[in-house]
Amino acid sequence: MSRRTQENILAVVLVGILVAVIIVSMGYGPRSRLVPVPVAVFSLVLVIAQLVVQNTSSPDDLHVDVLEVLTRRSAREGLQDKARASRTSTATAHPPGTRARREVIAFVLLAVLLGLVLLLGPIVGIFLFVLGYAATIGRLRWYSALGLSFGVSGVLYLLFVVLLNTQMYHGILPGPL
Amino acid sequence: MIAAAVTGLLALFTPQSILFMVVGVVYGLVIGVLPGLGGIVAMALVLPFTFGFQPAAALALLLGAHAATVWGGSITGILFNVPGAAKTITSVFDGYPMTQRGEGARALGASAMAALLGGIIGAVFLVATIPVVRPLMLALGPSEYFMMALWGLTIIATFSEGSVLKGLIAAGLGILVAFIGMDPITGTARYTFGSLFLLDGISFPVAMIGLFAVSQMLKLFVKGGSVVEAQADAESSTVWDGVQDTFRHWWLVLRSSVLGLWIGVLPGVGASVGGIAAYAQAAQTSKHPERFGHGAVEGVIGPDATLAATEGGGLLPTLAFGIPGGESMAILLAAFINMGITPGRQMLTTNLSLVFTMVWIIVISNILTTVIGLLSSKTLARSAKLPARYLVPTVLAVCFMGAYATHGRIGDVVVAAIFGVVGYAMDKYNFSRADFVIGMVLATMIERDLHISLTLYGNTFIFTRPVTLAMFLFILFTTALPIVRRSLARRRAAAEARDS
Repeated sequence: MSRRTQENILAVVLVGILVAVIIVSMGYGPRSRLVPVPVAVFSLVLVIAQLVVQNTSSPDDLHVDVLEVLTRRSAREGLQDKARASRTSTATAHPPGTRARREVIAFVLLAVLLGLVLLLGPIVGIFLFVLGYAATIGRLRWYSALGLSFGVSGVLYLLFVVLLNTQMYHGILPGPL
Repeated sequence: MIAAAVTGLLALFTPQSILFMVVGVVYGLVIGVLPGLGGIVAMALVLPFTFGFQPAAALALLLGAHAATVWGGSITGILFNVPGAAKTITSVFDGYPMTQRGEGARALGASAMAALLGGIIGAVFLVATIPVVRPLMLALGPSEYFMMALWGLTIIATFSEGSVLKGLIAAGLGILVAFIGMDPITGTARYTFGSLFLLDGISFPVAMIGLFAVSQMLKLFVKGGSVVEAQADAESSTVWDGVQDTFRHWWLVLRSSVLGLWIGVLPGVGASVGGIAAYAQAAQTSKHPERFGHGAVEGVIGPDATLAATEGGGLLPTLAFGIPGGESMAILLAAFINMGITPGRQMLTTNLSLVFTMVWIIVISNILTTVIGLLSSKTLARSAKLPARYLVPTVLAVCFMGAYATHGRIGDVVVAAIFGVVGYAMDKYNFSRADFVIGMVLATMIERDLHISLTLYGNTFIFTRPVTLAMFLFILFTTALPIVRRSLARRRAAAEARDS
């Protein structure tokens, strides 16, 4: 999927969200929607403008630097910087296919950690996640992985539970078990 | 006044007070480093431990911890692109690029020294301005605060070129996300879809953890390697370079500190706005604004000096009027009540020595933070070279734990994960996460103060309130100035091109 297509899909999703916000806001009282509706309408206009701009500009123009908005760098300078940055990072950059696969794995990992924390509570969930990550993706030896997972979850336990006295969530599973 | 200053200092020279201050500073540094747990959380967690102790010792623990979180939060921002708290968000703008090019120690040194100078200048100005600031503060109402929030939003539009659309869209989305939950004006549940969890709104620290910390780890996993690129320059700077930078930019330090003092004085504005405003003024007044965002040391110095100075500023309304300058000062107010101290006019008369004790605590705890910080900078800078296989699971674990500990709600962990994915997408498609945060920070202030202004002063409040009108004109001026400058620069460049 090309960059432009991805950007278009994102813009359409944003249009949908903002339209939904406006529709939902109309159900609130006039004082409750006084600020949200104008902000949503203004944002909607901006997204539509963005959609037009990104389909009428060259692909390079779609790469916009985050900090251009807080500095007075011009778009051209931003593009020059990006070109320089991309040249220096070529050595470590993954091919598009590999990158997409790694993105999927990253999201799956996040979901696994979230699932473990919800099911078993933060301390046990984190212990298992770090152990699994270090042993498989990190390719550490089993004793190193075990040491890392004990270290991370132990420090977190000491800091949050013992020192800061945080009331810990015990997960969904321990109850029925 | 001198007698009160000496008495205030002597009250701190007890073993208990000294021990409490050292413990407070070390604890504050640790809390500051943990993503999402800033000064407010640090103070809230130690508040129960202060009961029953002498006021000087209890305040040393509370204020020492709070002052240290300012710099503690910058450490992770500079080294990992993960701000420790909302107010240290600006540390990622230039501190992180400095780390990437092997100047992490320099950035940490500049950050620590700027925080020290800002803290001291803030404390000194606090003492000097007590008689002057009071009438000025009483002149400001909700309409003026509304104008201040609007000024914060114009920062996005003022400095943008080319990417203005995406910057503004991100800010708009940030504002809308801040409206999730109970509307404080009418009590209406907005965008909650019947969820009790969402009734409290999206927690700001949790959203920050997701947007910056979790998304950064996702990015690091996808990229592989370490935070500092393998082929990037080796650590080429020293902490001393950063210290020298701070003194070289003394005028910026002074300006930023005064700005921090002023922002601290204004109740409800908060240090998050202060950091962003400091960054904007540093970029606006720099001779080389194009370097900002690429590792300009001024981008580190300005916000850190401002954030440290807000400590002194925030004390003024808290002590003099019992109006907390921010959430952390509200916790301090709760500590006062527990100690049997009543804020108000008598704080500036009969209890003046206690005010000076607090001023000295700010000064000494800032010195302690800087000394500890400078000693550990080199070691901390090396941690940026940790490979992803260690960093990703460790930081993700800390993020999830931090998200949970913020309010003790497991739902916040889900929110952090969702914002992590959102942050990753925003970064990938170049929607500014910084603008999103600016929108979130200013949304509540804009809505609340607009409603109060309309109710109190009517629909034409901008033109009927002289101070509001002056601020409105100032906003127009500061918005127009860069456009005029840019236009003049273009004309000059065109003229030069014609001549050559």
